[in-house]
Amino acid sequence: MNDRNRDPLVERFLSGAMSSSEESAFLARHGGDPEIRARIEAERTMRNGIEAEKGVLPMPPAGSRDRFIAMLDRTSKTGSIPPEPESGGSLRRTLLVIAALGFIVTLAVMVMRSTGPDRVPQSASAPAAARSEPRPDTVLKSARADTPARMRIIVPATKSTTTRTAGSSGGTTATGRSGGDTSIAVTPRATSDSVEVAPDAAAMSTSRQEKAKLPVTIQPPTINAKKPDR
Amino acid sequence: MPVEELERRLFARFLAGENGALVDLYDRHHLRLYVYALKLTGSATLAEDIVQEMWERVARLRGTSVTVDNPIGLFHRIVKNLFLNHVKARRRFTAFVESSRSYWEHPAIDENAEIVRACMEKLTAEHREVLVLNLYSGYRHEEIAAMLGKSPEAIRKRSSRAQRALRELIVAMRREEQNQSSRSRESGR
Repeated sequence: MNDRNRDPLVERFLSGAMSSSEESAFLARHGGDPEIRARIEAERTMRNGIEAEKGVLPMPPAGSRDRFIAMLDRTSKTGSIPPEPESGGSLRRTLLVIAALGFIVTLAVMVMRSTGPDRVPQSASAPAAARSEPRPDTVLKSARADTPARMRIIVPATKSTTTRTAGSSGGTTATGRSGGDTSIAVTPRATSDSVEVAPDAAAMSTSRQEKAKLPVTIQPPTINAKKPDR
Repeated sequence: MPVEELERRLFARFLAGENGALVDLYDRHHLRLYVYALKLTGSATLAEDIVQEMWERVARLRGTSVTVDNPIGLFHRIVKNLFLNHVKARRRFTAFVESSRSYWEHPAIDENAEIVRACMEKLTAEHREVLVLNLYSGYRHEEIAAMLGKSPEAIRKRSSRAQRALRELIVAMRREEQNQSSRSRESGR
């Protein structure tokens, strides 16, 4: 019997299409044939192997269908497929921008402070005592004479005092520099002729605080008045 | 109405703007195409990516003026082309692809399945394709014929020849195993 005749018979036998009498006849006739036995065995291996593999094939992920439907909805609305939105993507971007801006501002302030015009470099020939003294105070100075007192920048100054009116109707700050022609920025709200002022302790160093403990009397405030040299 | 005609109409309805028609086609074919991609790639992740990409490409067709007479053939062709693209990319990015875990590492794969898999790899691409579509994905010969643009009779013959070739490979492998075991027994004596 050649392969062409044998295969349909083997197939019918394995698929159970034969009746019991046909099966008996088939086995009686071909059961002893090693070739047919090998073919039957191969057919069984093939069927069992495929069935076994189909039993362990991984299934598509559970969310596949939902993702497909969502994609289809997006396509029907826009005509194209936009990228899926990233969770937290915009928040992350915003935080990054804020952090970058903060860094740039900090850097700019540091550069301005280190290269400011009022900074007096210490010379190597200065006396040791002078060098060991605390750094000149930083005082609050109005950026401009007509600027409200709240808008200030901090600049280093060598010889200066800051006084704040006590008992005035509020917020008057006078800035003076003993060695120069520093203008005094005053908010014209003080009404008394002479104003008792107390030093702005927070704006002065320890050594300055000691000097400033004495009460200071200043002339009635004048807008943009030149402070006379001591 | 024949299945092919029904599916052609479903696809036409999708192109006309009815999303539900494509969802219907998805329910009919996603799992079968996924199994086909799985057998091609050997990786569940890759198979899912390929089939999902196929559906996205199909969805994009709505905006075009394309006419599709054989939607299932189109799905099959896109999956196959995506797989071939992947094979080309694998030549360039071998390390990345090898890191994807093959489903063949499943512990429940038995000896028969291992033999069949090894023998399937020795078949020609045409024989393997028709067996995978028929025996694993469950497509009928008529459906495979529509997919591949052949007559059902040609596919039946191809399938029969493929099964015979697979059987012969299995017989040869079994014989080889028996010979090896008898040789090892003789050397043990």
